[in-house]
Amino acid sequence: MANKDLLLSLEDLKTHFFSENGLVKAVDGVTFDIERGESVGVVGESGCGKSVTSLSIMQLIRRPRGDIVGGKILFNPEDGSSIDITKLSPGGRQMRSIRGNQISMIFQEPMTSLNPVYTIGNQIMEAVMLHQRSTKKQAKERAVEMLTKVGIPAPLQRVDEYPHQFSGGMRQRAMIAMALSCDPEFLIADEPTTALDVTIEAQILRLMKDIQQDFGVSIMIITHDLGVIAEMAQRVNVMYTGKIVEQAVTDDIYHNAKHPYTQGLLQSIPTIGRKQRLTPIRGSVPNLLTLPSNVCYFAPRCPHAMEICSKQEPPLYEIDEGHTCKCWLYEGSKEVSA
Amino acid sequence: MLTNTTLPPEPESPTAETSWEDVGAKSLSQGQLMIRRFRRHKLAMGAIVVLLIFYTVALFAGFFATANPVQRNSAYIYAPPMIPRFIDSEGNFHLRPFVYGLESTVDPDTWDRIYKPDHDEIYPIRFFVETDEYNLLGPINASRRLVGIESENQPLFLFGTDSLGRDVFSRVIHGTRISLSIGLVGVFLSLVLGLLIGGVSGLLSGGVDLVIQRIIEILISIPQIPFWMALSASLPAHWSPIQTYFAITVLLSLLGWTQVARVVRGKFLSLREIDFVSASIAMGANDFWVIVKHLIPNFFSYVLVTITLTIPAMILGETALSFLGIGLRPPVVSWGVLLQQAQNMRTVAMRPWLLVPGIFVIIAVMAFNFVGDGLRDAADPYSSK
Amino acid sequence: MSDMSDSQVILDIRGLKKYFPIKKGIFRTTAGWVRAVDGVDFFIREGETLGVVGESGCGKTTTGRCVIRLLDPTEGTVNFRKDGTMVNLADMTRKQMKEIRREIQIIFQDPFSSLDPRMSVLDIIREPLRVHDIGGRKQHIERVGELLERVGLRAYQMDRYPHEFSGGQRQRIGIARALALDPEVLICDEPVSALDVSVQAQVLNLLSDLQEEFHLTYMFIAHDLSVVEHISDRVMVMYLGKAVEMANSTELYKNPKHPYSEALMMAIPIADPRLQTKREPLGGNVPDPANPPEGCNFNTRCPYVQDICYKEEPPLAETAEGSDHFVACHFAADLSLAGWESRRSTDESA
Repeated sequence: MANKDLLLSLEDLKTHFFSENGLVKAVDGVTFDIERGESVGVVGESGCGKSVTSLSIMQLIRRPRGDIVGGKILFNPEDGSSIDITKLSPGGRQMRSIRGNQISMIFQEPMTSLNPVYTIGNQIMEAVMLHQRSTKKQAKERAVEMLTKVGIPAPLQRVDEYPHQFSGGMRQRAMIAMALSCDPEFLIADEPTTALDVTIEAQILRLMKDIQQDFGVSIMIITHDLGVIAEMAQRVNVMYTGKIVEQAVTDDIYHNAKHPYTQGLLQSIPTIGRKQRLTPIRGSVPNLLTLPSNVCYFAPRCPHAMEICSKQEPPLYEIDEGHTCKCWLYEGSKEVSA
Repeated sequence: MLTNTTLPPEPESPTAETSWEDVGAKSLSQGQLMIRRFRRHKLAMGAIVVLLIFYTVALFAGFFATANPVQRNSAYIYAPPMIPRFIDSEGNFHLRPFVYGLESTVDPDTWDRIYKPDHDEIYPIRFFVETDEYNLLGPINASRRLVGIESENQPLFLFGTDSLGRDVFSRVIHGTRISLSIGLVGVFLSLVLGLLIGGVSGLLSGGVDLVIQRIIEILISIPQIPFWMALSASLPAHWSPIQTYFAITVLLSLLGWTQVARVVRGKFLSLREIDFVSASIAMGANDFWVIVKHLIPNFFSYVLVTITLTIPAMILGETALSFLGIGLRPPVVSWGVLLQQAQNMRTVAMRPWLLVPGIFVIIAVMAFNFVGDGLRDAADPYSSK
Repeated sequence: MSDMSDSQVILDIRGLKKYFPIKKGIFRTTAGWVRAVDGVDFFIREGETLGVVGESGCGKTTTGRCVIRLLDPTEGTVNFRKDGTMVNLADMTRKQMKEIRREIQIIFQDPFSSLDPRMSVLDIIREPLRVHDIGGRKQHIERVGELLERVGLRAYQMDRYPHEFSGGQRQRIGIARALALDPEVLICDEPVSALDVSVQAQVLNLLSDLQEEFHLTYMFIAHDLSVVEHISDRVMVMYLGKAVEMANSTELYKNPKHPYSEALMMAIPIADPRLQTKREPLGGNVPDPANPPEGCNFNTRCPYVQDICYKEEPPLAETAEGSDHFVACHFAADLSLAGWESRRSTDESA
């Protein structure tokens, strides 16, 4: 292992779906690393493959509709081992012991991810008892402790309540409590605040920052909201049509964006206090079913498109240390081998 | 104003997309899409073929039958099916299938007739054979039948005969008419009742809706068979077969409409809240416009699914009633009436061919269910398939 | 409030209330009322955009639907200036409303449910013309072609069906339909919140262009504060069925006068890592609109709450004569609240 701080690295991950209308390359050659204690953002519009990436890491892709068809997901837990998650059977014992224990996930819609017929406490206890072999009493104590940590008032009473008795924000807190109950090393947050109101969103984002510090957990946050990413992530991966087009530390993404798509996204969002006309990206996200191969998929929408863009797929160029960009504009920079 | 201005499209318009991004070069309406999705459903397509065959057979029952369904053959009571063969008892291969004649003896102990094939009598099966004249359809009479054997004294019994020596095959074929049409007529009545009552319920809501919903709940909680039994018992015994037939369809649709009404009401309520209906109201459309232009086209496919799935219930209902002897009565021929012959365990054990009409009931019911499933999958306008 | 003599006012809404019954039991008896909109006053001037922001359940959508009479208001007046005189839409019959509907149209949030999937684009866009019995098929085709080109689509696409378009394109179709009758006012109910970020900007620009070209008046309902700031001339902030603040948008975002507006300014996720807030976010949740608190309805979450806030409900009042800044807070004059700019200053000094 090259880097002992590396927690998870995706190497040329490919997850495809086999629909009746044809092959959908939802994730098509994604490579990125997540270091221990780091929070990494994955940002992109609908259909860019950001959620499928996270589901692939959790081995939650439903076969036979879709499958990981290539690449590696190397997970290096603290015990020093190194596991390629793609090699594990999704329903196998080893994957189950990773899922929810070493890697946890929180979803966009907390109501559908909580089971309405069990109390919040029971659901947290279930995860704890499954993975930590603790007694029922210990598990309950743990549940109350976790609810306290995520800022749920009167946890001793609320631990015995059902999800429908919680408000949207409280449910998301409970989801986070559940996700953290087994002390995971890695937390995937898939659009964790999209369903929430602004003031509640601010509460949850604050909570996630706090727990990252307190628990030292690495977070991968997936969202379409550039505001959320700016607030939460240290490094950002920008995805478009199943591929990562730009990768950099957060400040560089927002203040030194290189890829025309990233630039376009930033110019598309209204900024408070700057009442000028927006500069949108023309066209819309293409249908993944009809994509040709070996071209830049952004070319038809790109203001800087050149002849080569619709003939050959650009390689990943390293523009600066830790700043890579998949665009022909930077031809001549150092190429990064995938 | 706007009418006088034709401006060039904005530079950021989506028309700058290249061809591989232009979704759907061919434009298909929802109806066409639904047909396309339905065609991909192999089971449903197979079932459609089966149903088409059934209904063709029902329409030209006389042609497909081998004999007059009410003709009695006192010499052939409870004759077993005559099985078409290609290889005779000496092992010779015949290109044209044939049947053996039937030889009958009487069991001296039970007085039952025992039939066995007479290996000396070979009757080749021929197509379009000339027989006695029969009524084909309405005023048209014909005398050729699809299959038959050319013999003066040996009738063909593909499915055997019943207690009066009538040909079960021909009776099943003729029974198709009643059994399959009773479903259609019954469903039509259910559809009319369901659309009206469900529509009123969904449209008016409030107290009317409340009352209708409670009535529907009461109706579906009544056990069907006793309910039908009670009602059919009240039918006058002297009614003609036609009158009874219609009375039975009305009976069946009395319970059948509730499903349609529920679907219609549910769709009315959910579509009423949907944005394109709000848009229509916001532009000044009245209720009639909204119902005709938006609601009916959008829930019609769901209604279609519901009625397709209601037909088998009707077929089963008729079969059950007739089987119990309170539905249609002989001389009317329906699958349920035919199954009456198979009420007795001893008969069934000794003459299993009397259960053949049951097989047809099962095939028809399954075919309708498969078609219904296929329609349901195809009806969702946003399904991913 | 601005008085009716203000000749620029095209819509003047006063004391608007909409209560929805809570039905219970098999006999569906009314067990209580959800006060979705609970006494809202506001006005819109001709040719301007009034942004309406608030969190889910604040009543912003219900307000919009009451203005266009998709819902019948429980109480209050909706005055609309028609041919120079104010008419109250709230007590018009359906017949009278039909004429008004040519002037006020609506754009919806969901680009999927807002277009009838069984109709072609031509039929969708010409539906208002048919409802009002304007022109024949030939004129309709011409008109629909123009409208399609105007909203950034192509005339030849009118034979297609909604499922063949992307979300942004569908939203353009919805806009074309709303424009078909040449309205004066458009109620835009979260028109971009279901769209991808890159497509959002296209639709926002289109709406701006159309407003300029056809002198449209917008009531722009949204939960995204950045979008509302971008498109609006004035902004109304709603909370729990009431308007808590209404002002010029630059002024409101810089100098909010209501503690809730301030909390919103602090909570917006700003797409700039250098502009992150260090302040504690507003705690608690929005109370149940079936059971709003006594007094000021923000008293359960307000960090500046005083005794009077539990007893008396503050009216929406202009901060100073002619300031055009309205706020419903007992301490509007006393509190010194921070706007979004405070986030910039704190971070730059840090």
